[in-house]
Amino acid sequence: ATHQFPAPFTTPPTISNYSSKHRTITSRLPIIPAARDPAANLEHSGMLKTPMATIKSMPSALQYELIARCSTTKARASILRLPHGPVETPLFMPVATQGTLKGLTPEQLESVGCRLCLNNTYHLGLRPGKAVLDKIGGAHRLQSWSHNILTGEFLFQMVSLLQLATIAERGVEFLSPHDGTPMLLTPEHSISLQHSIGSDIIMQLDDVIVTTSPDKRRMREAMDRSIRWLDRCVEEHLKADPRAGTEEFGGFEGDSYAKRQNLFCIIQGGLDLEMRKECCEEMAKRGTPGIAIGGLSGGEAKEEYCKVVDTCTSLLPDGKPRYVMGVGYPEDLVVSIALGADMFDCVWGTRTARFGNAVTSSGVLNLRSALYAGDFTAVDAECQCPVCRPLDSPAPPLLNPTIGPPSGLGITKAYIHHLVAKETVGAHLLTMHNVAFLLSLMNKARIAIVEDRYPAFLREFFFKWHGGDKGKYPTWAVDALRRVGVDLLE
Amino acid sequence: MAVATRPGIVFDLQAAGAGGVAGGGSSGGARVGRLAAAGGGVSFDTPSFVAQTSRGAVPHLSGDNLRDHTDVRVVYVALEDFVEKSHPNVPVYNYPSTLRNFISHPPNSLLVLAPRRSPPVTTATPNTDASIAILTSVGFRALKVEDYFNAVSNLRPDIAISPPDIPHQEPGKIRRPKMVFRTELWLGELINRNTSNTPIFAPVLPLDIEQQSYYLNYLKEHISSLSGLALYDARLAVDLPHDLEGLPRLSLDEALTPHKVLQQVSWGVDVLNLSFLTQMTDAGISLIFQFPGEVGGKKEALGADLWNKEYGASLEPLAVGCKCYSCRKHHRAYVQHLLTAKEMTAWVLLQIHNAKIVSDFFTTIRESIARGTFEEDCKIFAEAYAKEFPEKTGHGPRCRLPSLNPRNAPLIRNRLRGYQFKSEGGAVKKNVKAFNKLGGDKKEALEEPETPPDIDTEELVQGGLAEISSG
Repeated sequence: ATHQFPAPFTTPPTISNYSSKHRTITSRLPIIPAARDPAANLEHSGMLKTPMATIKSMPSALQYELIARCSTTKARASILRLPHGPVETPLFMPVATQGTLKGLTPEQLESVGCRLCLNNTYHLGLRPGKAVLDKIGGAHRLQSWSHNILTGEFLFQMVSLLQLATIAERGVEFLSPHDGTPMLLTPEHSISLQHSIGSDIIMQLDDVIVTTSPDKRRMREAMDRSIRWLDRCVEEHLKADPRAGTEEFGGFEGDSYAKRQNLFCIIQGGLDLEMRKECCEEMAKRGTPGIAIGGLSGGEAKEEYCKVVDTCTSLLPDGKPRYVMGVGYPEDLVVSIALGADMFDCVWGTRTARFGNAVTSSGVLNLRSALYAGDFTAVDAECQCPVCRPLDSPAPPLLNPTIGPPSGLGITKAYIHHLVAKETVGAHLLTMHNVAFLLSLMNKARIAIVEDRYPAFLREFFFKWHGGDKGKYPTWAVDALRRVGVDLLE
Repeated sequence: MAVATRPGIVFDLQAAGAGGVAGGGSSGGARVGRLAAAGGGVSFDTPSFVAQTSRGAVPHLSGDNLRDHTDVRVVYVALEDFVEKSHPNVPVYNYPSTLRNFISHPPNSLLVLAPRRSPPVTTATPNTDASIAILTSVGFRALKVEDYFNAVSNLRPDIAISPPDIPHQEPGKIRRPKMVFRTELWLGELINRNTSNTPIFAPVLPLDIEQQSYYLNYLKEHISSLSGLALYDARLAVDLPHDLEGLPRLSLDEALTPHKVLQQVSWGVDVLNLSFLTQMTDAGISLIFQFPGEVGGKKEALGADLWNKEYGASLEPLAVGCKCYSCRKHHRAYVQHLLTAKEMTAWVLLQIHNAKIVSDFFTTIRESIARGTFEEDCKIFAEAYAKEFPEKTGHGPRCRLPSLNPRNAPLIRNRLRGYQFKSEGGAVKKNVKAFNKLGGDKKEALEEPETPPDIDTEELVQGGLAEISSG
């Protein structure tokens, strides 16, 4: 079935999608028809940049098993088997930046259902550093986290955290924030650090610039450089792993790191759909076990975001997981799933918890408000996390547990209001709840896809999220979903 | 000898431990007992410790960690943490159930309610006959004792401490009898109004025994209405009248080191308030002492400062031989990493570990008393371990503390950040500025126009510059 394409339009700006400089430019971008068969593009395109013969083949350390596909939208449900255990997609990955999820013990993180969390390579490289990580035996050992870890440089943070970072062909040059010495981060160094960390999924080092930048030349330079850096990352990753063949790590002597860790490429290209298409084709040729769509969630207009995701997912191979980086707001999550994405990460859920905001099925509630001082109901009545369940109620069964999950605590909104911003315990409780909510949202989405009722799930979610007021539905979401065959306003 | 004073709390003196030693012997005043809440199911052996809470939560520990990973059996909750708004708008009063349910307190520990935190912050105004000055998160106010009595009835803690009148400065000749008078008056009121039969602990003021003798007689007369004593000076436990011996003694006199804990236990205290538990956690110090310990060549440290770089790659548990959650599942390198990264999880793991060390400490104390070797064991402990905790070297969760040396404790106690700690006027900022100007702090001063020099007008006229105008 072909999709309907609306005429180019301008969206009235709202806080979330305001993009002053580019309203006129982006509204005139061409909309490429989404092809259902990515293989067709690859072979018949006349724009091959790198002949396939010169690209090394890459082993994979994961197995992607497609369980179900939505018959209306592009949503998929699968099981992703990684070195430290299986995870189910669609998947939300909480961000444990410095090796911990802000105040939660690994047991608490596991008890809310997390089986794959993120670590930031840059932060771990600073503290505790490569030498200590090698000595300890990797980030899993450091954090006593027995499930999966995904690491990446997440250059957005780097660019914002560092003074005067300049990106050159050889790598990223910046001043160390601790003592100001000049440092150089190369793709090889990044991959080598991720080898020391020992994470199950590693990300390439990419050249990423602000999505809303109008500098097309720079955008193309970034895209091309990301492809070149991907090749350098692959080369570093295919080196022999000195620990392969040992009793602890298994495998055979002479195996490369790629047998134990999965390298994901990151599609760049900003909001230019042609560039994205080119990048998809080129990077897909490298045959990495999974593909990430990067350079989004930088403040661009939501319609553009949806178009980019829609375009890319149509071009990417079907049998590999797709990871859209930096997406975590519930509306964005469910729409992106409908557009064909599988994996997501975001700091928003945990960060907003520390500010006293609870994510619930009826929206984001600011529990610091005096409205909740006397509200003695659970934070989210439907939630099954330890925070929301009644005191001492038993835990529901979880996938692949290594611990006995804690029984309920029966925390009320009034008690969170009492604690929040005054005691760290308030932050811990809300963090647990928010992560549990986002993970369970993904789980519900997955069940809906498997039962082939994802459109109904979407309608139900938006209805509850906006308190039953269809007038509040964001236009970008309505339009994006219409393009994949779901009418929210029905 | 079991003293079942009120139906709520039962205290069996020397019921725990085999072959209970009679009052004297080498245990001195130290005593072993078992405190149980009738109908609640919570019971624990004494001597033991009460965990401090802030706003209803033990610092750094969410309810599941407190319940599942610590042996805390009784917590101390201050009403001043809950009464920001004026009565009757206090949320906890409007809550349709008890205080225990409002704070989602786990069912395996008791709740002690008192008007003020321990140790309390110095207030601006003094107490009056009908009110106590308290510090809430929105400022100082007066809490009417009547409201406190109503709170005890409505909130139904497991134990309520009758409000003492304790001034912040050393009380003078006239203030002391007034303290005793008010405390007795308030206790009488509380007993009369105790419609919910909440077990009451009567305060024993930090004065000489003779100065409180009438008050203590009052306690003897009303012993059937009391469930225990709250001592604001632990030394008084030795001199308490014989009739009051059967009441459990909660010491709210801070024990600043484990040596002081042993001293208080030897005076006959049953439940101790330890502020060093959270203080050491906040300092990043993992407690490693055991009772009685072993006398070696050198005195061992009471704790390990995990800020120390030498633990950067150490896969050792936080204390060798400890079986707490932090020591079983994690190691020193991880806590060191978390501390340098200023992650909250560092203090979560440390608090779990330190609470376990403290509860193990009390377990061994009880065994020692039961064996009859307590005095000798105390001497061994004093020989085996350093007198003070190690110096703090790193940042606390909110502020950098210069030193936790108990000598300086009175000076620095109120210097942490947070509304719970009063700040003084003209105080220097506690934390280093996190954000600085990109190019450094040097500001380019704007060029000022040169002002003309101060010259007398006469000279100007003489120099021919101008005339003095006459108009």
